Amino acid sequence: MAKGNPILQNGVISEWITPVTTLNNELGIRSLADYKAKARYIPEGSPGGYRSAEKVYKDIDAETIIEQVKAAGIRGKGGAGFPAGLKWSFVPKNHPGPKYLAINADEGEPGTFKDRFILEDCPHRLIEGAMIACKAFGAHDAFCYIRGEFYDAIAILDRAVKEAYAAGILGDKPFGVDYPMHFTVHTGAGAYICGEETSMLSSIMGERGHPRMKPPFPAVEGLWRKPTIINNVETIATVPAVFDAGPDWFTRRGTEKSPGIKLVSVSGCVRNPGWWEVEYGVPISTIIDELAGGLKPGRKLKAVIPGGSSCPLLQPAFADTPFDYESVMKAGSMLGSAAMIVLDDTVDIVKVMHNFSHFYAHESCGKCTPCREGTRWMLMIHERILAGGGSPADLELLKDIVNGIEAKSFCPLGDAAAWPVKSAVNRYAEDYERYFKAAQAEIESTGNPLAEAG
Amino acid sequence: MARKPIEYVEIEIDGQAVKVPANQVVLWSARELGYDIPHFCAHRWLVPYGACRMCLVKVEAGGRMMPKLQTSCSLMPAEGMKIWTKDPEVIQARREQLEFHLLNHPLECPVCDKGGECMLQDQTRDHGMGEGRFREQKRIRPDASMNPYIRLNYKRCIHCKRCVNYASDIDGSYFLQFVDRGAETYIESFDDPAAAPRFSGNVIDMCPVGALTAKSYRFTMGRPWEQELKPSIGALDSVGANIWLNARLGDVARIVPRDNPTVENGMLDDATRFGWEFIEDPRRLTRALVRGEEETRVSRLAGETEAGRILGRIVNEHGPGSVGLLAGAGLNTEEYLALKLFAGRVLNTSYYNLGDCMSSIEVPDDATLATVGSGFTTIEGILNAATVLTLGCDLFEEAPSLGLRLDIAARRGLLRLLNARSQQSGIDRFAELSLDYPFGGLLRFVRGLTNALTGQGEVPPEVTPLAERLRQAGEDCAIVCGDEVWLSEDPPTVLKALAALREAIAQASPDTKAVYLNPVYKSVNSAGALLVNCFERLTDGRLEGVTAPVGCLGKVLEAAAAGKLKALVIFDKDVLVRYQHRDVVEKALKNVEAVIYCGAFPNATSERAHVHLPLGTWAHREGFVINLEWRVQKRLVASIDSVAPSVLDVVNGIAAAMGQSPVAADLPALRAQLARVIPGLPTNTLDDLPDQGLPFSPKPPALDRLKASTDLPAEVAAPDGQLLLTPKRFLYNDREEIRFSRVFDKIPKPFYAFLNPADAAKLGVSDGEWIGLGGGHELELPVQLAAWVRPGSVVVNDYYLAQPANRLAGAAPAAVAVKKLAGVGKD
Repeated sequence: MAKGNPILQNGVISEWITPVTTLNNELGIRSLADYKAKARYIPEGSPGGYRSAEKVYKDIDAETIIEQVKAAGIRGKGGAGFPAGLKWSFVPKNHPGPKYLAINADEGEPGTFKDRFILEDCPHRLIEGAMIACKAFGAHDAFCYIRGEFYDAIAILDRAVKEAYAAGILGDKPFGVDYPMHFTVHTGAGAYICGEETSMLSSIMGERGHPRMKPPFPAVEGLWRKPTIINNVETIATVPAVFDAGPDWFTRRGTEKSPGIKLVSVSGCVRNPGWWEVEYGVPISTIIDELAGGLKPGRKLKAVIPGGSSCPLLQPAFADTPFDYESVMKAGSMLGSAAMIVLDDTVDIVKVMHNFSHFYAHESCGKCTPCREGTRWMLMIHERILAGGGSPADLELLKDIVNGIEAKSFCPLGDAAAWPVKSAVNRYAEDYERYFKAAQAEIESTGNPLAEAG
Repeated sequence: MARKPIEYVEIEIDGQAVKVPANQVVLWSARELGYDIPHFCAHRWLVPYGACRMCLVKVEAGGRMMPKLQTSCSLMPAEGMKIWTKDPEVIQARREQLEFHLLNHPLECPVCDKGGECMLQDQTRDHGMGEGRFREQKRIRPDASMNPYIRLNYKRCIHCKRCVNYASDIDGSYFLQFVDRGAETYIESFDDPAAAPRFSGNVIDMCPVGALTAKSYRFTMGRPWEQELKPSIGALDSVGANIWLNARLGDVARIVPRDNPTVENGMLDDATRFGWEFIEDPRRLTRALVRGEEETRVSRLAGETEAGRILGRIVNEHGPGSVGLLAGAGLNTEEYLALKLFAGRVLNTSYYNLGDCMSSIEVPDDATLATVGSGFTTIEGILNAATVLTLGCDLFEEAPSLGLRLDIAARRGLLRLLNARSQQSGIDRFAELSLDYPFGGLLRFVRGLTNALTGQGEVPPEVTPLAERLRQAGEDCAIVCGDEVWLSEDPPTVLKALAALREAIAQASPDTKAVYLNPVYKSVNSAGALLVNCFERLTDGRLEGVTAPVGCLGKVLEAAAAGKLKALVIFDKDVLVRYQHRDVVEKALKNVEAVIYCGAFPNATSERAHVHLPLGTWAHREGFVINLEWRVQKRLVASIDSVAPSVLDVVNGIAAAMGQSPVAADLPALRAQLARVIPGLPTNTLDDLPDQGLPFSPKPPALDRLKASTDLPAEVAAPDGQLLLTPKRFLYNDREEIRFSRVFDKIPKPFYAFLNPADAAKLGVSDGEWIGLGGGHELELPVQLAAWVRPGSVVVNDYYLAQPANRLAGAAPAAVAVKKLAGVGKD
């Protein structure tokens, strides 16, 4: 049962919310023994971990694995929402030499805290998913790249991997099947850019974490120039359930284009921040009000950032938008990593943007010009506005800077830096104008020093 | 060549249908066609990087407009693709990106050394918005030294990463790297202070702004547009890198590459690039030195008169054939003709040798001339070969630009690189196979390899893996050989063995259509010297009044040592240190009545001369030189105040003092004469010779079939307790371009006894301790441990005036006793 999650504990479950599903029931299942004894793939299923992997290794061939995952409609849960089964099918067939799976656990997006709980509370689910994914496209090595700040998660996953090796689940003959499977835990050093897939590959290889040119795509040339599939932790952790409950279990849930379930992490001005696993298509307002406890009394909703700090701000009018990729996109934002940041009417959007700009200026890798220079410039402008030196021209300037970054940076993280500011200057211009008026008033009250001198 | 023919695809650029190569990114194709697409991070040497975002274009591919603008530096063309370079969206994007580039760039163009040749300046004028909107604090960081040659002005850096990518992907030294992240990223040098930089200067050319500048040029040498440029040729190796000699107000200011894609492709080594101070160094001889009872400095005319008086007396007293003449390989080709005429008509001798490669006794025979004069390919041909076999050379030291280009091609998988040499070398890193043998074992190795391929004679086991690979040499194969040939006891024998190997590969590898043999010569004009030295047999040319040489360098020196010659005239060749048999040279210099030396700087030989006549450096003397691919290239006189005599001036001066008529009226007359003598030499006048040079084909004697020996010489091994002395050519040594250019004083030069750590452990010596080599400690050198040294060898610099290797080398291979020197501590 979710820790610190009173609403679920109280059983207040809307018809839209999937009752504790594939992960919540495994919280705290860290040891192999517990995982094998207690873990359920779906709430209504019977307990027993590594059942799916064993079945896959003994009975299911690679093509069927991909077909099943495709049938379940599992979409990448790291942000882009790319169908996982389709991605796996991009690996060149009959490629000589090694192929790799790289699991992205560099959960660095501000507002996102879902992968961490998987790593900490059910690490074996991730290992099991990785084993299945590797078999699907013929890899024997999985790398899990964990954000350097996740000290606990690194230790817990590391211990789980050792247990799995000791039990013969990982190693040369998993479940007695002649399909060697190895799992390496690799830590980052605290760089947001290494959550970008090609930067992560560079970092794993010991190079500077800079994004690489695509094409060649990692599925063709990734780690050490060998085919490499990169998936998010949550995506991989979802896979084992497909082979227990069947693809139908997923397609019955969610929407037509976004079937299944998704972890959301809710933070900001809500009474009960936390994370929940929901079906796609739940209205945003339901998540805020019924899961996260709603806003504090007397507050009004000002903005929702649906998918983490890189997504545009949504105004209150869009609060009822169904929470799936297509609907959120239509509303003018993105589902991203489903990290919902709720802002109420006490929040100053300029200060939020200053905070975000600071983050992106600090985390820009520096490879491409627009992101390197644009993020620093946006930060400096926000600093000046907050210090009382802004003028209406800054709003136009910010729009121009955003235009120079958006869709012109080397990797998507440039867009990530630009989009929130773009939405803020367009949708919350009045917050900026308040600062400009104050600055103007300040000048008028002190008079024009030059005029006095004259 | 082995490359597939380039395929073309038709695309549309700004509504114009054009054909572009299918294997080249759109940026370069469009720029070649005249479309102005700005760029910073893209460079023709580098793989696409896509960081600066200046080259964005609008693209329609497969009938669909691509949602984002695309970087043309990474965009491969596809049939029917449409590109827009002047679309308002594209122009707007350029303005935006340029504004970002300029945010932190200081407005100091008027005092910046790059101003006038700055990509950022040019692109701002062409594509910028004309005003800055950045009101915040610019990023600052103090300047830093990157290595002894290069300084970083951090504020000007626009983070294009060309230099860092160059250091990792091209020269592979990783001497520059990024530190920190995002806007605070800066470039830091991780140069090894103990290692001499080899290719670092190229980042100065690559830097699109004035961030990386040459310490020897910045602030003191004027602005780019003030420079007077003269085409010339890098003097340090036989590639003949094309350079611009820049001079301002009568002084040499710098050397920059002239970018000849077929020769050096703009890749200069640091010794060539920064080695120009010697041209006007005060230690250069401007007056003659006459040594009688005491040393006196006299005018050049008086020196030539004295030389003429001595030589006239000797020729009169002893008749024809009493004077020997030697010349180094750094002179111009027409100057060799002047010397040949001087020897024949004035000195009346056939004891002469021009050039440096054939240090053997006899004049190279027809088979040797056929080996070097035919069956070679161009530098492009080597780089385009399917397989390249380097034998007995360390190209990074002997022909750095060729070595670097081969290294890159091997790294990118464009060719198979196979190596065999006496020591590990830098170029091994991307070679498919690298073998080593004891120094002096080249002939045994080559013959053994040939035997393995032909199935005749004895086959040493170590050649087998190489022979296996050569049986699948691919469409064509180039053999590149080098210094170990010239250092061998008899270079012609080794060359003939290599020619036999060439034939053996052609026969053993069924798919191979052509096998080439390209010797890397010792000096910039070794080929020209050989051509004139042996033109009677290398061409159809004939000339009245000159006779063919009776022998090679060894023959002349032995005749002098035997007392047969009464005088030696030496032009620009430090024969005392350069010739392996020092005892012969010592004896020769002692036994002749007079030594006349002519050269720009003092050296070991000139100090033994009775008359030392001044000579201009290569920057003072116009003419043409011939490189290792027999390309005829010109070098013009730098626009400098100092004038210095050419070889023709000197020989005419001596001839006049001897009462003889001049050998030629002037250099153009000499050149015209040379063009008549050697048909096909494209050098009637220097004006006719294009800046990028012209290829030339010598006509060596035809040979039906080479009779190759299959006999293996004995295996070379040092007796117990001794090491094999291995003189090795290094880029940095004591040649005058390096010894008299102050910039190199800061460079750690490889004047060490390089020992394999295993041997050093046996001897009980460590880095920096001194050892004595030879029974009488003929060489005393500090030790440097180096894993690249073959166990059982001690490697020394082949040209180090203080401790010349030929005190010991004698007949290579030489085993020497090695002893740790007590009392000489770490320096």
